[in-house]
Amino acid sequence: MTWGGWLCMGLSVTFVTTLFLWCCWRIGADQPETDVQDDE
Amino acid sequence: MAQIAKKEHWGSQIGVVLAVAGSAVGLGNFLRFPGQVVNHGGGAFMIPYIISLLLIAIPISMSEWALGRCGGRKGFHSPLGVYHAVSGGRTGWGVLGGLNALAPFVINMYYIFIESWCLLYALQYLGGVLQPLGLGFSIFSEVEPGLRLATTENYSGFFGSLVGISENGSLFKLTSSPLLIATILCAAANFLLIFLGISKGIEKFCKIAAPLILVCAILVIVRVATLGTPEGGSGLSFLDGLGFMWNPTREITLETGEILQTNIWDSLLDPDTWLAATAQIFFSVSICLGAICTYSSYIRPKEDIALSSLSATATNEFCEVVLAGFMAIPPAIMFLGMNAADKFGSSFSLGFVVLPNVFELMPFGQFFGFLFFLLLFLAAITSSMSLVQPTVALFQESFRWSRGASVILAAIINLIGTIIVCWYTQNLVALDVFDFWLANCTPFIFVIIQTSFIIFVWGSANFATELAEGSKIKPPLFIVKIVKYVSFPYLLIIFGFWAWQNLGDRIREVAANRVAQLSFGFFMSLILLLTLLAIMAMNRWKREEQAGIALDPNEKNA
Repeated sequence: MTWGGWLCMGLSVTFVTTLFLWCCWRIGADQPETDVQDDE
Repeated sequence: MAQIAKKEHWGSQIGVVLAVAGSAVGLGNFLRFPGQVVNHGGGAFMIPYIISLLLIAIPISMSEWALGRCGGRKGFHSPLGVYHAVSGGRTGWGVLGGLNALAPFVINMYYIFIESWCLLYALQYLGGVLQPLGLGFSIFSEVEPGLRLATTENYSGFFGSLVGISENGSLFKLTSSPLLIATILCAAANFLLIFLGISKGIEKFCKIAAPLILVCAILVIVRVATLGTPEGGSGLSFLDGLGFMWNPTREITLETGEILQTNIWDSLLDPDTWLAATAQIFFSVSICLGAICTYSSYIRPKEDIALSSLSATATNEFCEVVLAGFMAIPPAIMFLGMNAADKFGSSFSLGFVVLPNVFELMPFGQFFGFLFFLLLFLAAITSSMSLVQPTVALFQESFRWSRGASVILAAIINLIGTIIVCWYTQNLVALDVFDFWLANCTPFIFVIIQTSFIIFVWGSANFATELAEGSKIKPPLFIVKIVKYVSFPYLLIIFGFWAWQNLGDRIREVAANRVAQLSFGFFMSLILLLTLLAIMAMNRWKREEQAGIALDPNEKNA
């Protein structure tokens, strides 16, 4: 594995993982304590 | 305009995010993406890929979520209803909205067939047919339990005989074809989950399946990453496998036998790399297939669609770049060496020929093979549910039918297409024709139609207002400008290049091949059916609006 490979993989994985974890955190923070049920 | 009372909603924000992410995460993430990276410059591929993610996937996805919720607020859930409501009842746009259900519906006809391959492979690993260990049962009468196929050629033969690649109709000649039984089971599971409804069927299933996909993928990655340099392999390590996939400096063997070394700039200056990266991100996120529009129409009015949209896209990307990036290519290189690389370009070849061979050689490969194909099966079924829901919503709204009746009609039409794909299996021509025209060509056309609709009919200001409604993450306003000034022209250019590269050969194929003509005739019949349905439904809605009637298609269910 060359340094270029490490760089491309590292940056891509870091970017995507950070975005994913940030979204998980924000959704978790926004969740009400209980899920809203259907209107039915 | 006739108001159709809203009855169904997603139970929670996590539920809709997992459903949309489950819709996007499919075989393309785990099998197509790694092959595209390898064949288009390794790590260099990721530069146009990330740019396309930022300029196309995220903005267009947000616009589709906003459009869907706007239509849902007006009481419509199918793309036809959403276009009709948002355009103020314009017939031409309504018809285009109705036709938006075509691509996902037809894709599902062959996707169910592929889903059944994943199910059968998972069951085979569980039963121990492709490995000497296991429970010792075989669902294929001609394959003895414990048989080792040993080479990719044998696995290729096994796959070919499983899907009936040698002759049309061969699957129907068997007294009890396991593949046809599995296809029926997959179809039944799909339509049952859709029948159960948005919250009680699709959402509940996705809440179980999505975490299970993640767990299966992590277990397989941990296994692959801890193999070191395995005995009986090619002598290459996990890092060599990663390097083969991600190194931007690559060696290409020319037809003359000469070895050419390319660097990151060679790949970035090649238009093919940009086209492949944009197409991969576009197909992977599943934008403008009708699924996001329909799913988001069931969101409650005050929910944060900007965050939901971003989360669904991020989940899809995490599965694709992080999980698939480590799972498929490195073990293939570790066990089979560079010789297997010519099979990475095709998703089917990588998934159903190369990787089963790898699992045979891998310690505890039977268990990890089972996990891998279970993962693929779950990813496929969560995608296929989303492909049918736009059509079911279309039937519910157009005919004023209950969900059950709409699901039955969708299942019957779906069955016709699936039978065509299952019958014409020679060289998988029918599947290939369905895949090219509906999964590759049509989404490009519809992303241009939908983006035009959002920009020129709905209006950027309405899009911005809808996106900001209920949003806690404050989506920047330049997202709207990106859709209008960057994504739209970028997509036109990419589609132009793509059509120039692909359409000529494909049109000639339709002119020459009987199966392609039959398939095309089938598509045309569906286009005609959907157009008539759209016109009929819009006339009915207009009449009801004039008469002041507001009918609820779910009343019969209630």
